[in-house]
Amino acid sequence: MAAELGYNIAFKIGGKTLTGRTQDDLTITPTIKESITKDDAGNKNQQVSGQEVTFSCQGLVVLSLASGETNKLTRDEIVEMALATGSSAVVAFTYRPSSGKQLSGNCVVTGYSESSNSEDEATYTVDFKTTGALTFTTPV
Amino acid sequence: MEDLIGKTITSTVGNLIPFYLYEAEQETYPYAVYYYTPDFYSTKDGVYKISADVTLQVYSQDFDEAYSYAEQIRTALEQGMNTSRFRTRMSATSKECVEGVWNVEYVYNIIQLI
Repeated sequence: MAAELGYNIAFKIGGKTLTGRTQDDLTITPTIKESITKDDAGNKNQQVSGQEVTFSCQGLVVLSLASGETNKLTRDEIVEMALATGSSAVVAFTYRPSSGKQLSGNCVVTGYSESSNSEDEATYTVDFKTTGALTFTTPV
Repeated sequence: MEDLIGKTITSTVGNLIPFYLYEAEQETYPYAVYYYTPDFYSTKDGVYKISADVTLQVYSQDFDEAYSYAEQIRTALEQGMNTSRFRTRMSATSKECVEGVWNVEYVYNIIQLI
């Protein structure tokens, strides 16, 4: 057994990781419709009609990148993404471990927060919810 | 990311007083020793910070001399290791005398950034 190390799992927006990333959480919540008729004799039926897929990403606030770091989104770019509206708010994402299948599709930002105190590095949390169809395939 | 805390402490204060890691190599007073254990902090992309509580002890047969060196070291560290790469703050101090030898101990929290 080879458990996947957390740092190998990358959530990307437009092909870029979020800078200073320390944690990416994926949650898949099935949308379930429950039904029961008299003929079910008291046994309820569950039907999955879809899924709600969300991501929660945390990291250190980083304002500028080192030279050559073109594959990361800075804090300002993340905030601009959170402030976008309409079709501009829909962004493409991928989520994948070091190997295996990749979850991909579009998502929108559902929340952004920053935390700063007098001792430690400032941190951010940004939440996403997918929109539209998702694919779960092995990248070629 | 390489741990530069020990090297930088030595280069910052090593010219003030005979200065050693963990224990003195010569029993000639006064002298100072330091030791620490670094804690590494990482993002998914690698280490971004090293934090260490550095204990720095000055030994002398005269209290005033030990205290004076401890204060000189403190000044040197606070001036030389508060930069874009390092943050230094004294967090504790103690003084004791054992068999006529004074030990003035200062503990610093030193953070090394990228």
